[in-house]
Amino acid sequence: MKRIYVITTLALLLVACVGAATYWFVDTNRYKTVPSFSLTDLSGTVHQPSDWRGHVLVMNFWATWCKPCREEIPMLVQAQKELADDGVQILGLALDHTQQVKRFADKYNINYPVLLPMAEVARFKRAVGGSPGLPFTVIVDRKGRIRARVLGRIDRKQLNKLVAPLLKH
Amino acid sequence: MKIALTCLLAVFCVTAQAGFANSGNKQFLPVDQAFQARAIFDDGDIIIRWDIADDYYLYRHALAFKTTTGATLDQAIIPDGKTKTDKFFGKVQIYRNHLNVRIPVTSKTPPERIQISYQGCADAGLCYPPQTRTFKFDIGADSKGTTASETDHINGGDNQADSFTAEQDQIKSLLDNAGLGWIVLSFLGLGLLLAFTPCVLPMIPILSSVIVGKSGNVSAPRGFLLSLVYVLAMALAYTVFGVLAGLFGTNLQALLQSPWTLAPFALVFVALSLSLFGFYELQLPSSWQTRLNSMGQGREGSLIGAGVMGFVAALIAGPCVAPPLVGALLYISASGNAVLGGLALFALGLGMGLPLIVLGTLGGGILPRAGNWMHRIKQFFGVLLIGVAIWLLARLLPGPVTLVLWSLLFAAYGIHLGAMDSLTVSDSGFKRMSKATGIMALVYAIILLVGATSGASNPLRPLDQLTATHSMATKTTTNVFQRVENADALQAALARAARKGKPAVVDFYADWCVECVQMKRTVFSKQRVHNALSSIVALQVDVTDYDADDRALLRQYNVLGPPTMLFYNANGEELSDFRLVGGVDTEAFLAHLQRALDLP
Repeated sequence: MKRIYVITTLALLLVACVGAATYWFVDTNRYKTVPSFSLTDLSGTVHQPSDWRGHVLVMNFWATWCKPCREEIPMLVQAQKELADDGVQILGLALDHTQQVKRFADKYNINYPVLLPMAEVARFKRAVGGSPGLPFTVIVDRKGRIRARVLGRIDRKQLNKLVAPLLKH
Repeated sequence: MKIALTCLLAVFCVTAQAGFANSGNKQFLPVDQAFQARAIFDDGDIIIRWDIADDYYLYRHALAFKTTTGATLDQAIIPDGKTKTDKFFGKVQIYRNHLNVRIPVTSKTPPERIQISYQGCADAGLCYPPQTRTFKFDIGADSKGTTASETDHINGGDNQADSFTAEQDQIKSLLDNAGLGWIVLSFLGLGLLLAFTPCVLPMIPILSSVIVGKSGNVSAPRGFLLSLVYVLAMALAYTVFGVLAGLFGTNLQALLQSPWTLAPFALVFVALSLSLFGFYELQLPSSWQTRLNSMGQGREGSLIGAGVMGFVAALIAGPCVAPPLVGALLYISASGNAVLGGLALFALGLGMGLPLIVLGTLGGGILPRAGNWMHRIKQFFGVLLIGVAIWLLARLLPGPVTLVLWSLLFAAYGIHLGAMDSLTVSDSGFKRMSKATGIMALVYAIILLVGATSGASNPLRPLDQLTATHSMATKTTTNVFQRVENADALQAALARAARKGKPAVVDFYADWCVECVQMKRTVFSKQRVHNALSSIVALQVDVTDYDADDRALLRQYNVLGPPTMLFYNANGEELSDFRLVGGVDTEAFLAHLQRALDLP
């Protein structure tokens, strides 16, 4: 009689340990790692997400023909100036043609990398998930995990709220 | 057992909630609620009506209309919208609340189908991708007030380029789409094969007598039940491993992208395979093993005993099972799919236990006797593991090099199976089969080598490179059209053509117009088309930029958008009946050209 209790207790302990380990794994894996991409900025340099490891990334999908996107950009330019010291990097992923984008970037003095080409940005946007539409902003933490996806134009207050909890190292 | 099941259920519940974090989303209407489109045929006119939600608007320049059959579509009458001055694009026209577009049709009956395109945004700050809808009119309906029903419904992706998936996504989707059923089935088969390895098969009769008990004759149903409980417990333990591997795998996925982790991983597999080839033994220390085994003692013939022993057996995993098991777990972790992991490993456990169930139910004599052939199976698994190592390294190495590695593996295994050995009359059927398989492997290895030297990278299509170059069509890269930059240049060119008494065509093109690009590649690159167009003036306007000038030009010529082709006779008059809207193939284009301009 006694041995069966020992066996059962050991089995239960084992299952409990396994359950706890699983829960811990699930918790640390709650956030999906950002998919990879290979995009070029306006100066011709090729970039991957790993180039900015350790930064909080604000990936903003936009196009020149999208009015709300254009309205957002001056805010993003200002935010990049002010948040750079905190290790925040804004990226402008353009779903648009290079010529249009170049003209626009010059005119608005965009101070963060603007990434192309359109087809690869579209593929990456699909990989990240979320509904179709622009502008679309994805926030990635310092460990490269996607923490938020926001559809539509955002203002500075919203951006601060999204980024603030991720600033701690 | 029950507690194990509830724990497992709890795990699945948590994973279901651990989804994406979509924070702070404004409430935007779904695109079909924001812009409701309808098409009506009324007394010789097609009327397209949009109901636009409050605080939403449509862009005039994004409107486009096409019929997909031959009925002539006269120019659409688009009302003027509100003019907004855009800082970047200048004047744009938008519509709010309602939009009615009337398209007069020259024939009395409506066209079979009409395709409309539109694009709009929300004031709150979102632009939807371009939308395309096709409406079907019932043929033979009377000409008064027929409402069209919607057929195809295309929500534009955020751009109009073709979709493509990156390679890593492809591997993951391959595992997702390869049919969960097929993967689970193959794991079942694998488990069964594992049962025939030298460390498992001889143990089965002994295990069976322990589980079922030594007490005389045990009925078949009882024997079945006991064996089943054992096997289910074992399978359950494996399931837990599989789920863990799947969950832990999402982290591994990121690691598997760097050469620093892929190479050691591959080495691990090679090392595991060496154990199967007999270079060393991989198992728990024997003291552990005996202690675990003794746990099952004293409870033979009972359900609980069978269950406990089954669960524990999974942990002991003998030297033959451990390497393939680790390999299977790593494969599952590559998919990052916990459900797949759980199901696949459950199937593996079941497969391994199948012979035991058979023995327990039907008694001895059914199972094959242990013999040297078991070592063959062990070696087969060893080869399998090396295959996995090569598959991992394939991500790092150039394609042809991977093919060479595969070739080596198949060649070595083929020779080991006896491809080069000579047979004597007295050799058994097995030996002959083995040689046959070995020869096949050797031949495949040679084909792979040929493929590698020709630069192929796909082990399943090694001879692709030998046939590919010949089927590449000869493309004429020179544009058959003469490009005109703006409205003035176009007018001048048309005037020149008229002075010379030559007919002309004007093609409206844009990079983002899929049909235009298709026609550029398949129709306008053909020599026959070049010849046909050589006797006339062929002009092309590129509206890729779609700036204010482009839009003005389009409006001036009453062109809704590319692809559109205008035909002018030798006197410089436009043959508006022959306007070509939409993409066509080579034959259709040449026929149309002939009819319009009476060309040979």
